Amino acid sequence: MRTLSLCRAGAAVCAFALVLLLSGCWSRHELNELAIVVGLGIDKTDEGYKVTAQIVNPSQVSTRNGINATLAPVVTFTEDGRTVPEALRRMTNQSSKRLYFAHLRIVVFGERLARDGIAKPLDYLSRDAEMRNDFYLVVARESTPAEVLGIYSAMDPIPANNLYTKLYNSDTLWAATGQITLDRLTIDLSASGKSPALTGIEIAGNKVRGRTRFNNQGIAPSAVMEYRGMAVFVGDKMVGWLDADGTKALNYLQNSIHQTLGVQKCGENGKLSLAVMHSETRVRVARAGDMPVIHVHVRVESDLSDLECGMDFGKAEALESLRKEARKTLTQLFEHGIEEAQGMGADIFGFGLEVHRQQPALWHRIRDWNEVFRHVRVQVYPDLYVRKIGTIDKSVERMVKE
Amino acid sequence: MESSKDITHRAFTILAFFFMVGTSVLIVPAGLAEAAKQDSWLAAIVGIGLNVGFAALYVLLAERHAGRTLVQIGELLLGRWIGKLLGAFFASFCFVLASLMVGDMGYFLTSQILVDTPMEPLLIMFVCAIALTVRKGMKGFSYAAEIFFPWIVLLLVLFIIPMMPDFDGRRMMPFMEYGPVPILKGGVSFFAFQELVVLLMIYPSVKAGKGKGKGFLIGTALGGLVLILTTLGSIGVLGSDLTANHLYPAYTMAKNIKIGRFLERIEGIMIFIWICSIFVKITLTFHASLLAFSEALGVKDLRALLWPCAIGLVVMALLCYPNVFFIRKFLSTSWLPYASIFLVIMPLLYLMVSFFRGKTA
Repeated sequence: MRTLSLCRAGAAVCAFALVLLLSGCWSRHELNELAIVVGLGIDKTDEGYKVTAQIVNPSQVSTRNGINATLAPVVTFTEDGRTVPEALRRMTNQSSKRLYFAHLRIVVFGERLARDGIAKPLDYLSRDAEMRNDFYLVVARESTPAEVLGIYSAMDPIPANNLYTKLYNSDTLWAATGQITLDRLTIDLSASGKSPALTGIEIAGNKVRGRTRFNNQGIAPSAVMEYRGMAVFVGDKMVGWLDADGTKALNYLQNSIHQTLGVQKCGENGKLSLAVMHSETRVRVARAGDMPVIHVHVRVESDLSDLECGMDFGKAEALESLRKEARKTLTQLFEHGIEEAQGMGADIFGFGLEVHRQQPALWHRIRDWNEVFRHVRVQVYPDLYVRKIGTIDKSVERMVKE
Repeated sequence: MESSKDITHRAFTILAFFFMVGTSVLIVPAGLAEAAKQDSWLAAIVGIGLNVGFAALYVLLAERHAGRTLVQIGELLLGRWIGKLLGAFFASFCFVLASLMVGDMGYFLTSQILVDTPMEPLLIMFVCAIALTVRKGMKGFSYAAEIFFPWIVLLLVLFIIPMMPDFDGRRMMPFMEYGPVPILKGGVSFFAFQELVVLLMIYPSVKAGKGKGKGFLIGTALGGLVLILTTLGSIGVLGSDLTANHLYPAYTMAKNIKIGRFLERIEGIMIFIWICSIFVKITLTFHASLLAFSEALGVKDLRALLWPCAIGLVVMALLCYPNVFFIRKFLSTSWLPYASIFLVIMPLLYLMVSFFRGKTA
């Protein structure tokens, strides 16, 4: 009897001991104690880095209590540090909450940092357990990251979210930008035979007004954060900018087109637009002596988007001549992009990877691929197919004339 | 710990599966990619081939002396003293292995998820769970593994299928760039991380019959398939450089899982795969070490050893794992020679003696 009650007492003590565990675990962080960082800007200073964090102001984003228009939807803090993590820890001097990075959407590098090398700050981003790898990385153009992260955004109240979806949409629909995530970037950085490129972001419009909430009070925003071209890197150092056409060529040649649109001359002084719905690129590496020769086959499938000329596609020759013209335009686009990249000595297309994969023996004899790339012969063979013509047949212009 | 000889064949197959997958699925792609670069998947196949081959040898040995554990076989073949001595060495091997895995688990959890949590309480709780499981015996445990199995398979499917769009087969090229040597090297050191010989300690507790050895091999092959797919996936998704540089490439991939735009950030659920399989593997190994100790030292009741050894497990894990650099160096340089004493030399020696002296010995 006594042993039984002792046993019960023991069990009771154990049960109560479990209550101690209920207070939670070491690593718990309540939601109201976290500052959710959505944007991170990193630039170089003489001593180290200037880091800007854009943090969601939760009361301004939840719609339940109604939005108080006098408060900003996000807060940014800027802090210097010898390393990125040091600056972020020092930021606790400014932030009332603990910075939390799992919902990071965008990282903006300053151009100065980009030209100096992005590998060092990337280490922290890859090493830290809280960081995921689904955020985009971009380079600020003609402004600092702190400025970019300080602009009010139209439509989406959280600027970093705005930047994120904007990059996603512009890349999938227009292809003059590139959505580069941390793992894509580190893969490119560690590969010999492919140079990375990051999309550029600039502030278009009135920078000063853009920093205030008046930015969105007019129907046309005073300042808009706009993507423009891509920063080209050799190793981890930025060497120059690629314009919109160059970026398109890059997307075509590295086979990362989702959709885009091209304009084509048609007839005497008409134009037509072709929406590219699908593009497939194959790279074949041949060799001529000790040099690789790169053949790029690009197969583009497109739909007619608009027709501003009197062309009659009922005739087979019309379609044939359109395809011929389009091939010419694409060839020009590609060759222009390749020339630009070769001028910078940066193989952003990843042709080096293909040389490595297809001609390993030749690859091992090449010491500095980026130097060789400057002089490599690249042949492009674009081919265009027109599949659909939309919902009407003849051009409206022609209907008017008839 | 009843010596009830009724772990079913199916449960045993599943145990072998978990034993293969445990810990390896997390860390192995990194080591493979370091050795064999883009040919890691070939190295993984070599390693699995070795595993299945050796599993067949283990089955052969165990079936020749049915009803005896590895330690008892040693005693039977080499005489009481030598047998017991080797048995004690084997027990210590299992013990070190179990504590290394406890440390693995602790370092994984504290470096990926519970960053602020000190490791000790995690280890203590985990080892308590293991000790309680061992105390309740392997039969019930084998049923538990059976219950976990479909969930693990479901999670593995959920893990592997969303990777497919990101998979780029060209990352496997060029094929066999540095010839077969790094592939074989990678395969051999990969083999040393699946210490299947440990299963010979519970082999006698499995219901006798034809399906027993077959179950061992099937479980090994299935677990191996998961490892091959994970390696293939890490190379195709992350590329060999990134795979080699990540401590836990599989977890990194899990962070990328995205089904549509709504099912994201499910790596927290994926952790179940690793925690569950490592739990099964540690429990089996810890049980094997206790059993081997008790047989070598002539202790009748395992329970006398249970809690002291469990405490030892925590301490040993903390001792073995001073920091991540040390363990990476240890695993890449010292583990293969150490483990192959028990994985290769000991079973082969026993098998040779067994053939030499005849079945009855």
